[in-house]
Amino acid sequence: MKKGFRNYLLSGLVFIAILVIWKVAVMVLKTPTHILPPPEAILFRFIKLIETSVLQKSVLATFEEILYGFSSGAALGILFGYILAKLPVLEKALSPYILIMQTAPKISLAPLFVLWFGLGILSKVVLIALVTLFPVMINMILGVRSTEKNYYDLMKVLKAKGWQVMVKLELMNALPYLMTGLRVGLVLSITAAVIGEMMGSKAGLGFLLILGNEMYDITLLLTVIVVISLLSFFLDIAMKKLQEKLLFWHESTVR
Amino acid sequence: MSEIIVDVKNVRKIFTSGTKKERKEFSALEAVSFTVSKGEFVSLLGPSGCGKSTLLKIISGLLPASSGVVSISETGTKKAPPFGFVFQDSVLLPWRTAFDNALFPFEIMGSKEKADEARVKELFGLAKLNGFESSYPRQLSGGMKQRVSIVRALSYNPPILLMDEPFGALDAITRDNLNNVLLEIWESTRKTVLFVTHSISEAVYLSDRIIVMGTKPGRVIKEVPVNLPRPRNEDVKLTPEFYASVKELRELLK
Repeated sequence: MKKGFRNYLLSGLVFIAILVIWKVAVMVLKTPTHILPPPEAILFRFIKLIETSVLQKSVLATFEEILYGFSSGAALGILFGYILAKLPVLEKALSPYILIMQTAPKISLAPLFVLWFGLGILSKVVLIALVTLFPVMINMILGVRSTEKNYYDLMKVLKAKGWQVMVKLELMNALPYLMTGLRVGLVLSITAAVIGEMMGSKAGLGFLLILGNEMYDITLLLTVIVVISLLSFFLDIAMKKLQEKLLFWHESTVR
Repeated sequence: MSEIIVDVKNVRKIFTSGTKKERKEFSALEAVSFTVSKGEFVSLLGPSGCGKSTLLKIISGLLPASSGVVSISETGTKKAPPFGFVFQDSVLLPWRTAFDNALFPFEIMGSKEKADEARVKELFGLAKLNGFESSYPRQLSGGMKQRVSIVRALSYNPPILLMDEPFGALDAITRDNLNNVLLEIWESTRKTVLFVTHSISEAVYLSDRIIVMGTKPGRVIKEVPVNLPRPRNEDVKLTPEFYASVKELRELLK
């Protein structure tokens, strides 16, 4: 407990140090505001964006895309992952394509999706689902495959039905792998959402970035970048907490 | 002796490997026959590669025999098999507590009565696991995990207990302890036990009868009765009769 507090204190000091260096640098170098604004400008802009409720709307729009995209991508990843894990023939047949899709930068499809699915939420949801799908699917395959033969023997001795083997053994066994895949997928989701919005949209944090860029508004750009970082940070923490809650029995959570 | 519960007749097991053109056949078991009577403790003893584990898997239905018949006169219930199976590893589900692991068979069978839970509780006492009901497998030692898996195998009160080198992965001291725990459980439940091991002294200490198996191909060399008095404790290991049995088996396995 005490050690944890000290760690927080140290992290806080580092944060303050960065702000001080930033502030001093701006003052000494006399950089114009449109190149590098002082740190407090970010704070003031942040407050202003909240007062005009621009920020809330943008965060909400991005969050909504992530919610739909991530959950549908994760669901498909779990489903396809399980099917491929149970059908090695299918996996072998598809493996070169899966590999290509997995290694290809799916973000590069963003302009295409905007053309196909429009400037609205759908193009981002599809992009996010796609980037989430792969890490979830690959980890799901690994997780289901890693079920040891002994456990199948146990289920067979107990005359377990197929669905019982799936629900009570394979899915539980895959859970640690799946959670890793979901965490990777969530981080990728945020990137995909922002890039998708930058490619063409009418709302969201990526839209604000484009706005800031076109108006040479460095303060707006930096403020939005900070907000995006915070959003990623808190989503990852939420995911980590969920992981620890679900995997309390697993070696990875033993402290 | 009394009624025959497990009857193994002319069981052969041939494993094939290689491609379709060049099929290699390996005879794991060659015409194995023996019987086990009700309440008897029988060990299958032999070096690795003699097919003793394969034989146990055939008896339990985990593997099909290439030819021959295994008949088990106890039918069990429609939902539960007539035997409990203890693996070499404990095969506990890591996301369940020790007690929930022991109750796992009921969840698969979809029926659990109050008496069942009481019996599992009692078995926990017999296995000296009191106080560890809510521990997770990773918090338990190897010996304790194996005791939980024995309790699980007995949870639904099957008449037969099949054990596949259950203590093979444990250190010698833990192994001796678990042998005593197993004897105590056996004395109070009087299950029919078929026990696979490669330890001569373990087989002598536990069994009423030992089926000695040899390799290439896996086969029964001889059946050796053990006439040591019951109930047994560690002292029996110091008697000349115990030594005589161990010596006889050692000669057979040379």
